[in-house]
Amino acid sequence: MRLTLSLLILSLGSVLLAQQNRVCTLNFKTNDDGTGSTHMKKRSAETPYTIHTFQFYVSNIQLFNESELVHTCEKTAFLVDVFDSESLSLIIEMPYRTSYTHIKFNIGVDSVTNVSGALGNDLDPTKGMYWTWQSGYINFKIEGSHVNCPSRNNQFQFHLGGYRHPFNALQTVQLSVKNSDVINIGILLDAFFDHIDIRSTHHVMSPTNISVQLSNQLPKLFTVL
Amino acid sequence: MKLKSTIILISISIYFMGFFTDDVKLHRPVYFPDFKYDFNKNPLSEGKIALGRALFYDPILSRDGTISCASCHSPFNAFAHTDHDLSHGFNDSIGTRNAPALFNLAWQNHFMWDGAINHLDMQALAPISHPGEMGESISNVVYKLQHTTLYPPLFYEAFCDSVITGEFLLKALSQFQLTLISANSKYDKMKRGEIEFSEQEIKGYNLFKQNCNSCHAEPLFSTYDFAFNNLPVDPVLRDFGRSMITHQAVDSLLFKIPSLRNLQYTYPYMHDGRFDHLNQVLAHYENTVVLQKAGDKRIPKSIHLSSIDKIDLSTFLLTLNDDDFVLNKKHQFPRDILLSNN
Ligand code: HEC
Ligand code: HEC
Repeated sequence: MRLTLSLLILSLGSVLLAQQNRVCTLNFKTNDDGTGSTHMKKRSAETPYTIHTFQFYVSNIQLFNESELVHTCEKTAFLVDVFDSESLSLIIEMPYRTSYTHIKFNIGVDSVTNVSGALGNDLDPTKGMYWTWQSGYINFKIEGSHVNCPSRNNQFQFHLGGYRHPFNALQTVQLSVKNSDVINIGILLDAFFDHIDIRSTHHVMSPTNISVQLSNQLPKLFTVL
Repeated sequence: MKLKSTIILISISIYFMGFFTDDVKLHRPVYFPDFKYDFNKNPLSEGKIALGRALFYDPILSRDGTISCASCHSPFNAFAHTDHDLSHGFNDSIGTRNAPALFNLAWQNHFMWDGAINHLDMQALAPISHPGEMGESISNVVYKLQHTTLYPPLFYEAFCDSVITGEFLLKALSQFQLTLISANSKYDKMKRGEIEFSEQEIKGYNLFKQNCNSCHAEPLFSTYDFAFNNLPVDPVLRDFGRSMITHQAVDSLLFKIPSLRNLQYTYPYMHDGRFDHLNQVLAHYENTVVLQKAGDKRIPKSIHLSSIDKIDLSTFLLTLNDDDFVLNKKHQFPRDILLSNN
């Protein structure tokens, strides 16, 4: 009897709470003007590269009010695919009246998730973000061509990831944000190529030193618009 | 009114929770250690095990529909492969390693000879995607399965969802493999007090405990850690084992320690299948120094076996063959599912 009663209160409580949620939308944008990914597809004088695949994981999203943690997103990992506009908007639900000054998230998948066996939804290995011959998620994947790349058809492939010491590639991004219901985050792809000598480094496909070095640059790609 | 419907809702959901409760518990012999596999994340059920068994034997998992898991892991060889030293796969390509036996997987955390795989669930991705093995991709396998008449109902029965996902496919394959438990050899019967060892078997057992148990620890007959057993590297294959994954020099030439259960069925031996016979293995160990782990260090251990020792040791190793496991019908090709349909 007491159990039924407390279950009842619990379910009624959650119904009430659900009505009072605050919803924040986190939008990833690939161009400063927010119009989409035109320069991703065509090489021009200003952009010496084209991209045909660009995916990464955003995980463990947390909101802070100054230094106080005010919300941790329930969904552990989102797969962002720059060529799939739906995946660029992440919906974060939190209790009504939550207010924040900072957002923090990981680029990639943490080590606990990496050793947890088969997972579903965005973490399903059919998404192509899991290495097959060696266990582990690919945190950040980008493929395309670059004029200065000496490989066949100027092709480059970067599959960055790794969770095991000393090749832990997980990165944390921390940004100051306005307390608004929409947060727009720009991805500065040029910055990625600024940090690579594409003449010598154009294929990184497994967790190694280079994977970690390149991953260390990733937080610089994200900026609040 | 609202209260009443809430109560009804709650009781319905409790009823269904009970209805779908996953019901299968693996039998763990009392002298076995705790499971390593986390069953909470993938609770066993009859439906999922049966589905995993069908998938294990179905060549639909390979690109041209000719190779199944069982092509390289035969039930009659304790799920090892015995025709070749190096396993054969898609397009008759030859792999670089010998297919290991599959049993007692619920007690293991690392898979493959170099430990490249960190969880049983994720293991199947390797052979499915390997161009020389099944030459497929998991997303295409999911697509193919979804378009059969056979599989969507089986997935529905197992996971209450007829939309097939990579997660469900991998979890079902794990479930079948987790049921492959070898615990009914003569050694096991001795452990349970059902029979007694002969004098020669006891001598062999003592030699085993002295020389082999630090790596091939009973009752699983492996610690399932990595070790160097003094095999010289093959100059053509140049397989350095564990260090190819960790990129650490200390891990050079370390390989996953295989269990010594069912050796009668799992020849050829070692990661590259270089020995066809057990007496070649014992000749290798006859006068050798191996590196074993003690705490964080690897310490050398010398092994010396006289010719009588080798005979006694062989006699003991014979007690680790588990005929009941190898002949278990529940582990074999599921005729009722795979022959009736397709
Ligand atoms: C072409 C032959 C081939 C096929 C097909 C194949 N395997 Fe294997 N399997 C191997 C080889 C070889 C290894 C060892 C690989 C290594 O160490 O790099 C292995 C290793 C394994 C292991 C790890 C065992 C251990 O002790 O670490 C498991 C589990 C396994 N296979 C299950 C499967 C499943 C499930 C399938 C079907 C989806 C499958 N295999 C298909 C050849 C094959
Ligand atoms: C230092 C740890 C260690 C010790 C001690 C050790 N082994 Fe091994 N054993 C291994 C490793 C590692 C392998 C796999 C090596 C490889 O394939 O490169 C192995 C492989 C084997 C195999 C092949 C099994 C298969 O399925 O391929 C047999 C049989 C074997 N050992 C028997 C013994 C016996 C008998 C003794 C005691 C005389 C012994 N080992 C002592 C580590 C050890």
